[in-house]
Amino acid sequence: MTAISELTERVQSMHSQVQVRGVEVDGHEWIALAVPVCPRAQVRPNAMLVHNLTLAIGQLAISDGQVVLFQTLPLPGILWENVEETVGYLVREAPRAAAAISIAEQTVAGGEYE
Amino acid sequence: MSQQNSDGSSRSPAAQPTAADRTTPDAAATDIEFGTWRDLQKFVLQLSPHFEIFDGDNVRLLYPHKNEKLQLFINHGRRITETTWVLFGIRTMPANPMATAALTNTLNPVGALVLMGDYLCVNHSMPLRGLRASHVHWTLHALCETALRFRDQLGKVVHEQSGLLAQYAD
Repeated sequence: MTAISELTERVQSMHSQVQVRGVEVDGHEWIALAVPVCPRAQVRPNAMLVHNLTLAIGQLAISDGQVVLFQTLPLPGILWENVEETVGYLVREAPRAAAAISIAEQTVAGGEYE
Repeated sequence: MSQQNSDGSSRSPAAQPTAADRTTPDAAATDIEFGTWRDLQKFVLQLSPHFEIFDGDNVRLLYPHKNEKLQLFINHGRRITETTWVLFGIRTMPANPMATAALTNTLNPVGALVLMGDYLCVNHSMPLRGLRASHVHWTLHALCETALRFRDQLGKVVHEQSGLLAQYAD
């Protein structure tokens, strides 16, 4: 069993919605941890850029028509404690991100300030 | 020995990695691992003679990459639970809301677009726990490549939009 498949099994036993995949960046192996947030059509791209600044870690991006909250970590020497912490944060943060980027769109779209 | 959080609460030392957690034990033995922010800061400051440190937790420097000097910033102190994280970022170009919409349909593994003030930056966070020199090099290289790619793509989009708008100038 590869390191990535072992990590995938451990992560998804905690949170089945977390997507785990290996990615190669400049010839080095990284692991990407991602949680679905909402369909792309529900948000404005600039709302994502602004919300990215509020995140402690991770970033919002669009993948296959879906907004995801993701974080990548280098695979060599990866620590399970870091993976666990990352996954916990992404899972907790995804609903808040969904609310924030949808609200940003609605706020700009109209309504009066009191 | 317990350690102090900034709010006075204490926390247990970060868990030590086991052999089973390391995917490449041989590589780990020869790579420098930073135990503290100070160690990382010393390492980073060697990357460029042009640097600034402010508030102790922020470093800004001109990082050489492919005959260019990119504005790199490193911030220490983001915390989720036990460990602190380090943010690496490169200032890419002034923000252009119309142009950035064209770039957000990309999930880039290392280096995501962030709007910071009037500038677009590409950022990536890494946990300080277990952070190695090789990880820092990989991150900086990937961020630089992403920054240059975004800058080129954004530049093309802005140029095209300028051309389109020019038709309505008169």
